[in-house]
Amino acid sequence: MPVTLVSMPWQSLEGPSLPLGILRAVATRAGLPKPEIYPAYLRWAEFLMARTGEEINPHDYRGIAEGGIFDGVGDWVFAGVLHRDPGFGVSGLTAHAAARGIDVTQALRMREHAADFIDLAVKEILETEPTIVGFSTTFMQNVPSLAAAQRLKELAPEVTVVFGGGNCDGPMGAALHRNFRFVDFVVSGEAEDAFPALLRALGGDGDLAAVPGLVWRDSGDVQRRNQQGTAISPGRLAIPDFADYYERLAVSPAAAYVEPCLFLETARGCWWGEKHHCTFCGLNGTAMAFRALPADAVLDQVTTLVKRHQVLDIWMVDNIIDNAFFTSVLPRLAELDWDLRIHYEVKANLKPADLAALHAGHVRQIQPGIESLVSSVLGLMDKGVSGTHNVRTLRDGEATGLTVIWNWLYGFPGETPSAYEPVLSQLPALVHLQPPIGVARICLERFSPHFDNPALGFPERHPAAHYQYLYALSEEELTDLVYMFDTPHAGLSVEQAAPLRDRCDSWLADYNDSWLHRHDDGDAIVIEDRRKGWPERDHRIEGVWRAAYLELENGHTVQGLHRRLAAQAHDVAPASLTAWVAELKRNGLVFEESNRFVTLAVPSDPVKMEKA
Amino acid sequence: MYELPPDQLRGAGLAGLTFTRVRLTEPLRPGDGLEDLRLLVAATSHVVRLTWTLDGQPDLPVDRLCHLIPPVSGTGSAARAYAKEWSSLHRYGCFHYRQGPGFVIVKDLRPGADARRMRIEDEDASGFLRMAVTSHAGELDPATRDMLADAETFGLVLRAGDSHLVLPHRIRHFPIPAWAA
Ligand code: SF4
Repeated sequence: MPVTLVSMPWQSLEGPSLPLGILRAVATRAGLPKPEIYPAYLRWAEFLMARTGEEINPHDYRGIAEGGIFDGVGDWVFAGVLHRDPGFGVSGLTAHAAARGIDVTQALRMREHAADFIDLAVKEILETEPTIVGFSTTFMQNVPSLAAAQRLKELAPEVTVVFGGGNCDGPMGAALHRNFRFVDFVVSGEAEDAFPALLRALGGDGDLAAVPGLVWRDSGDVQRRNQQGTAISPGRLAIPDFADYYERLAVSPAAAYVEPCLFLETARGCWWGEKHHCTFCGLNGTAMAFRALPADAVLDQVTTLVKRHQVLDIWMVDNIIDNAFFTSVLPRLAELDWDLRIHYEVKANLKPADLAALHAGHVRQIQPGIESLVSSVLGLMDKGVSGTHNVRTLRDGEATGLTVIWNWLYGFPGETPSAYEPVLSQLPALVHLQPPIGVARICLERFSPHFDNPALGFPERHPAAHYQYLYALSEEELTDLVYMFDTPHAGLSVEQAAPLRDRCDSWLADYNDSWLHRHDDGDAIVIEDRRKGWPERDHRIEGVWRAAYLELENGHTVQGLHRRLAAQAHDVAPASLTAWVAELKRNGLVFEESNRFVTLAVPSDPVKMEKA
Repeated sequence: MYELPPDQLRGAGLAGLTFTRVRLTEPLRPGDGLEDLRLLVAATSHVVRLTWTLDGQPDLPVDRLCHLIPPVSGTGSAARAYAKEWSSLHRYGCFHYRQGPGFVIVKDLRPGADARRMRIEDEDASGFLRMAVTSHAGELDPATRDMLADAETFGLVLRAGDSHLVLPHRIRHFPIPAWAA
């Protein structure tokens, strides 16, 4: 039973589809024929380049893939094809984008080519002579996948169409199946067990009713929904089989624009979210249970795939690194004399030794879920960290030479401008540390505590406005189908958030030219201040104050600092300590939040540069 | 900031000086032989924050060297002009290599050249890496010695007499943001 698995735009061009690589591996492991993989997203980038003489190129693709998610711009490019109406949603989303300050010029140009591309992609899929075609759909892959599936069914009604992926989790899968009849089956939830079971059942060996998470139609054409399976155990996570993606990319005209990357998964779910689900986060869908690969399996996966595909950049898609990896995996990665560049998501309360372990293990970029520097707002999120923790992570990440990616989120029910003010006034002192890549109002996401519990502050919600320009469905159906919801604003108003945006814009503009460097010669700490907006100045800190400064690198209240110094037999009057810390703060050498202080100078000079 | 003569830095083992600021007390002459260029390749690779002055003017167009830590000034007007251009063209990591198991990836984004990403595999990769850690042809086995001419043609190696230098530096430290190099 030949199977072709398809990944439509807007999967990242930098690598193969991880879900399809996993499905191919589990099918093979189950003794089933190897599915073909059709990377339609790469073909789309190539198609646009050829059609437009590279006026539309992979940079434009990336602009939509990375920047269009919260407004469904990528889905919208294919909405005209899905609805067989080239004008579908055009005026609506164009006006929506204008109001949100989003440029959709290139997306509009891409729409002109979408129908021809769907015809081409379906033709090429059918050339693989499949009996079953599976679409993996996450975020903006829904409309392009539906458009292709619809065309496929028109041309080859005998082919079975299966959907799976993040967009099919929970009620979304059933809604998709209900509203798009050309989709024969939807797999909701993790598919490692369901996919082989479905293939067997379709081959006459097994019962559709026994396939975990399957949404299907019975002989009476009534929709049936099997219960989603339990979370896949770590031992059943497979090494993905990326087939010939990299060979294909190497000869693609898109290759000139793409630096290939491996997308790997070493853990699933979130150990923090199991205990304290961050209130805004819907990322884990219905599978919060944390499962990590054993260290040997991580090493096996990394070394096998790096050798096989000769790619040194690795983007770990885990929502959070397993704490055990600091002692089990990273030291073993550190032993590899390879110039890897790894991205990992981590928790923000890392110690310098943890950051050093990451760096030694070839991790070069972390996403520590910083989200805010205001402790009371972090409390509203149930983040389990304080503003000073987060600043310390920014400082120590900088010192270690790690890129620290973070977004500043606001709009939490209960937050007030007065909570932000003391932090905003100190942002100029942080200008030498890595700024947020964006400042954004939180969005109500399905599966988040905010969504599941209206009492947390978002009782009124509607499918996000852009979905009406993607689907011709009632609000009731959209409510089941979609991931993002609009709500009346909570927390800061647009005007109240303006100073935060302005300060972060300045931070971003001045970061590359700002340094606050500290050198400790054992007798004294010398801090060289070369930050934009601050007078060029060197500070010398000696004697007991040197000891106090070194303690303050960990973050303390003045009382806590006093206790620590007393334990080291340093006798400093509390009033002197208070005055000294206040002086440091006046000079922008410490950050204060909720009565805790943390130092800001960085003991090394990593290379900062503009993104190419 | 340490102040050191070039020879002392050469002998210091640059790995221990990563992110450290060092001012060279004597100018470098990267136009004379390969040894001063070798020091710059090593310092760039280990991200030693070098402050140095250019003496003389290398024969090479400045855009071939602009991946290396630039001089802050020059000892005469021609050297100063060269130093200024070097500094203006410098972009960290714009010509580097990365080592993997059985392969090497070279990335060249220097201005004036076509951007390229080259993968060197198998024996060629081990030969390239051998060239990168040696400085004289006599240190190479015959097969690797035979590769020198090709490597020079591809702009990967400079040669002077029986000395050679792999011109791209190994990227041991990525910049912030890490994907900018
Ligand atoms: S935001 Fe991150 S840490 Fe919080 S629940 Fe989501 S995945 Fe876990």
